[in-house]
Amino acid sequence: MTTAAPPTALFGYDFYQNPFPAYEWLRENSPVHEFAFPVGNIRTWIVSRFDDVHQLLGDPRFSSNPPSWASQEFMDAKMMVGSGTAVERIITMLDPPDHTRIRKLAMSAFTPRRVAQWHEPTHAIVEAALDRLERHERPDVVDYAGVIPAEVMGKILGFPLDRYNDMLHAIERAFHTDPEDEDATRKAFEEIAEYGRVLIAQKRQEPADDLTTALIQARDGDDRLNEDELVAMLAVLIMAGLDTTRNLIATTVLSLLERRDQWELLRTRPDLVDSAVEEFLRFNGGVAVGFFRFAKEDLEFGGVALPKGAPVIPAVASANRDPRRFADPDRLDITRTVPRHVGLGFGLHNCLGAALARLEASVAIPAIVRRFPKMTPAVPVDELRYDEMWLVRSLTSLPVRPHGDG
Amino acid sequence: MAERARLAVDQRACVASGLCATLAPALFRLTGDGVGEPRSALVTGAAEIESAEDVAGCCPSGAVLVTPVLDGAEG
Repeated sequence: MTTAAPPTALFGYDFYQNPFPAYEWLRENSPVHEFAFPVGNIRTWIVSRFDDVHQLLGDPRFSSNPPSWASQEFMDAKMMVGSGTAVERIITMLDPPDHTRIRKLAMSAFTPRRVAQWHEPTHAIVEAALDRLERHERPDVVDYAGVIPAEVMGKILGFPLDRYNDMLHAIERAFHTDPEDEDATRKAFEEIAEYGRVLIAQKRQEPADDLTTALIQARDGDDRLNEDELVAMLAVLIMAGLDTTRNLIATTVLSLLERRDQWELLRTRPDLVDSAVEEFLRFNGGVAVGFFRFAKEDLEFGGVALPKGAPVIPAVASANRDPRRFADPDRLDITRTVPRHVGLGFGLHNCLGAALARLEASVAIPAIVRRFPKMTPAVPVDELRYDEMWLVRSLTSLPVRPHGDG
Repeated sequence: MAERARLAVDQRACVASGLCATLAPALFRLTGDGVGEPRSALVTGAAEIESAEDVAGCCPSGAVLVTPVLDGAEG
């Protein structure tokens, strides 16, 4: 006999601390599960098995564009990401042909070939960050993990992201499921959009050989995107470029500290880095669930009838732990080579920065393990906490002793 | 303006993102392992070529290759 509800309320405090028992319950008992999303209290479905998530992300019967396809209830609850701000126009929520036109403008900067040029700068950034971690009075891996994507993205965009910590706080408020007040979410998205506007204004004054200048040229020179789309592009690069990678790095370091055999394996076997990074993306991918998808018509999905406009959440972190897909899925094994995960999404909206995320993780995680082989957590790991953010699984802090207890 | 183009997917570069088959299912399909492959090695007409070039421009691994076949150059 199965229980009628997951062991923790979905997207509640306990769920965020450890979502995996709830994911397991969903996969076993209700793979396309209807529940009330805590923000807005609206009817939502969450999809948790690998095959279903994979299908959903590539299914043309669904769109991630709320203005065209979401239920009135969803729009009225201001559930659209960035509702009432320039963030409404981020590429993540556009359909073709707008999606295609805008993705092409940014994609060329993030192909594996183009990303390879950031290999040496990323190494230098990581080494400097490790120096600072060692000297810090209260060394924290979450700080280390945050500075790396901020500095790498800063180099690609063409300016130092001085306000990246403000942006990380804004992102946390923007995707929080227990907001301080009704307007907190909109204000947080507006803060991110406004930073984008400031950076664009600066770069218009001082163009250079960087991605921001190329995007401004596409706007001002060729009219291939409008001003709102330009601001949204900067905002999404800041949002998607910072927090996801920070969480991938920080949560993975924690997982390795808890599994010294894997820590030692990574430290002594640099040849395993490629399979290790794929395993980190599967096990602790920066993104917990994808953006809402909306049924474009009344339809059936995984045996469940969904009304037109129904918001559906692809639980990628659950898909990546599905035993139907992965043998012994809750075991972190950096020698695992198959099969493919959905940690970077799938289909139209697959991660544009995938090659950069792989680069940053492949440098930052092995480097900390090699520099501080005896590192230990500075607090009992069961005291560590995760933010109440629906999009990402975000450690609040990870204090460490870089040279261990000795 | 070429009316035909060769279409190929570099199978080693492909990261199985599924973008090609989602954006242009008439031109691409996925193999059992999720790797993209063209349905036909040749695309014809401006609309098909533009669609193929859209996919090439959006592919996260830069694995889609569209090469115009210039008129009179076919042998």
